[in-house]
Amino acid sequence: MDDTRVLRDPQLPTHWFNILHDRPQYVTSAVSRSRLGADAITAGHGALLQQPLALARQSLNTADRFIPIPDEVLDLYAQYRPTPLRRAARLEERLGANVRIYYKYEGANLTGSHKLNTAFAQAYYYSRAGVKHLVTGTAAGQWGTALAYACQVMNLGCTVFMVRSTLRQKPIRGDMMRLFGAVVHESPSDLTEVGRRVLKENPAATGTQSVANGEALELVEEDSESRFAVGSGENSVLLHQTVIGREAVSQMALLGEFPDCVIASMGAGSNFGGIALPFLGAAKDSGRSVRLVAVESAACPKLTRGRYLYDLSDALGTSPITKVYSLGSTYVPPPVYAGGLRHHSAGPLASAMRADGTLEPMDIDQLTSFRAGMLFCEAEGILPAPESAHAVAGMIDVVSAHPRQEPPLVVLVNISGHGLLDLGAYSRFAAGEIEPVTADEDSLSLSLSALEEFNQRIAEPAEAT
Amino acid sequence: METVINDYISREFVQDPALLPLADDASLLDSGILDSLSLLRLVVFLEERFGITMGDADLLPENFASVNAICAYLRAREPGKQEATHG
Repeated sequence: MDDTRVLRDPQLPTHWFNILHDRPQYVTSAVSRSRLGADAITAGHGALLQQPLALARQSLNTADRFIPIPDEVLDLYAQYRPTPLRRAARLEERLGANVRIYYKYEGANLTGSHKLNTAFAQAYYYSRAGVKHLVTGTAAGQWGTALAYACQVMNLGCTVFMVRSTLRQKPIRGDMMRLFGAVVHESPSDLTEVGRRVLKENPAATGTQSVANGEALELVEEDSESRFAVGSGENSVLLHQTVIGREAVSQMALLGEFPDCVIASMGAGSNFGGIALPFLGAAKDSGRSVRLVAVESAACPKLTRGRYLYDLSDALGTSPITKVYSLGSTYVPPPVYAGGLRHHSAGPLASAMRADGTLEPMDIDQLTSFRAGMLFCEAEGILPAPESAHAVAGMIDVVSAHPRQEPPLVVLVNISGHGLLDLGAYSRFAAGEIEPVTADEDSLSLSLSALEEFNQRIAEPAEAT
Repeated sequence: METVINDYISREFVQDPALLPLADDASLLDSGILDSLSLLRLVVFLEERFGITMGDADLLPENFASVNAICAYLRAREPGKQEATHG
């Protein structure tokens, strides 16, 4: 594209921030799939990497603190970035707490969430690598919508497996993806062996991100020009999302502020990492400290109740075996409206941050999150996505505990998306029909046992020595 | 070259002692020794060790099927260079 036709705001970062430079210990810890014995082999079209090499390298790069954003991606970011950072003054008044609350709003782009930041980047790299079609799994639909649009922009085909419970909660998400040219399937589906296996066990299965990803991976194996794309968890995805935090660091500095605490919701880690990681870098540069709070759904409490063990990330069992905080890949969270928080594990990077105490986890139940989301809407005029409402609820918890006699607490919360496609859920909340939803204890117990058995199994060869 | 690559793969990726010592013609893909993460680490190692840059077109299964296959690929890529520089 002719650069003279694109007006880029000078506040738009030209580089992503790479935390692996500052903290190389966060490079993903993995064990070889050879530990799985005969199960290590999976059928496929022989692609050795799902990701283009340029993209995959980003997940291991410890050499470069800042990684340049390709010009074509910058031009696309310029459609909607920089995103606003605002002080939530009316919310401060409503809460009556001793705080200054700021929020970063990622919901104003066409697809309505932060997911577009990595969707554009990934579609760019896949397109340059000669890939023709991307297949993915999506939970709440924000990632699927963003990828569908990015694929349309980059002239790539797109197929999305969307978790059944959330697609039925908000079918309009599927409509949006189809509008952008994607083929959308409800997951579990009868199109794949993974889906058929789940449906055979339970025809009424609500679906999970793990199964949707497994179906996407199985479909990809049948077409050499297709690849699997993932919207969260991977280090490269968190890297792309650091445009959020890099902007926020600059915007806070213009206001003469540096947050005491940065808060975001936690699915697998992309919106949390996106806003939090650049503040880790900025804190290091300025000799300050910053508290990072990741807010997960009480229905899927991987950081607060999970185990830090090796696990697979998809139901097909083809993924690398990485060390993550997990509830086990067979855990089926109860259906909640925050579908983006239903992934059974945090990504490797967020998990490493939890393990060394850099990240502070908090779990919030659905009813509390909707109360917080409505309060935020009434005060600030933005209806947060159910996932973002968890972040707001976590923020209220943090600020409510801050003593009045101390200097005001400065907090920054990431509103990762809008909730305009979740009006039905908010209406149910207003009607008093939303209940607190916590983890499915039976499924959790079985899944954690299976996870521990899996780790014993892959550890056995080493113990034999 | 075979020794360098075999040593690296054995040390970094073969965590099952039953698979050691790793034969140069042993399958790296069917055994699960190479997956997407370990392959990427191997690519970075090969690039640094042999002074090359690899692209998506190089990541063919036949180039990474075994230690012998990797060496054949490297020799075919720039005949003589790897051996002359590092051999």
